[in-house]
Amino acid sequence: MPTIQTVTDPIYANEAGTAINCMVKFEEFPAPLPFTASPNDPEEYGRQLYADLVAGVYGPIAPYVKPVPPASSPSDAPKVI
Amino acid sequence: MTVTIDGSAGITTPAETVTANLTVGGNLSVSGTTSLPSINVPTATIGAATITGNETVGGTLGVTGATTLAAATATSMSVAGTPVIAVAPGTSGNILKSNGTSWQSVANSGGSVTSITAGTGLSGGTITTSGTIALVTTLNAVGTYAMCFDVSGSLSPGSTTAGSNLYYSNANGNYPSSPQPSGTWQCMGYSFGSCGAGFQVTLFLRIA
Repeated sequence: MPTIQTVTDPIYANEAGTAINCMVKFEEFPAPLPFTASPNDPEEYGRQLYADLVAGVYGPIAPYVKPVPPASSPSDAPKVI
Repeated sequence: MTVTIDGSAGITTPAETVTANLTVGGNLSVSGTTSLPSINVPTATIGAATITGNETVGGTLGVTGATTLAAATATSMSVAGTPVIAVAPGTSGNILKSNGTSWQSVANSGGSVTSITAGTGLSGGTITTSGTIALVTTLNAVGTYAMCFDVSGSLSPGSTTAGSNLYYSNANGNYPSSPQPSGTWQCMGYSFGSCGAGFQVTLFLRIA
């Protein structure tokens, strides 16, 4: 199990607030990594991180911001099923 | 001088001293206590004998048939030309180890590996005695792969992204809106958002 050293920039990853994005510095990696914390994560440390974020351990969580889709031709637009 | 004694009829002699060579052509039976300070027997067959005192065999002692030694002490012994040596058992748990010249009783302390920890993508934890290491196959677990649609449309091999930027997808770029992966994922291909939906689908590996 990776060891979390620091957690910064928490922001909700969806409108429902069921996932939180943040930057996590793990001891096992040289640089902070973009991480999505979720209560449904199969990894225990991921579920714990989500619980800690919601509890405010790492500060306030910024509101969700809808991403801007990349430019693409209409015929090739992503097809959500 | 040669003395020939025909013993077939039985001879009882109170005491005789033979100072020259004595040749016995047939069986020689000796009863009572007999002392032979020195005797040279080229070939001897012992049918059933019990030796109660010390005996020294200067040459080769050949034994045929089943032989039982209830209690025997040998200062040196060889088997098929190889010396047999006595090694004290030493401490409990010791093993026999050769130093190239002889055998010794030494502590059983072979290799230097004391534990193995299953790394990323493997289950089994830390094994110190015995255990099983296997591939992790749980969806979305660290070490597993997933074919995903990347919403950013701009990733190259080795770059990382958060799980919320990915959707489990088919090769054409069709995907349901949920569930989404969690954690950190490493892109193992290319995602070109400017080329169409299918170009944003590639393989990802969860690394954290």
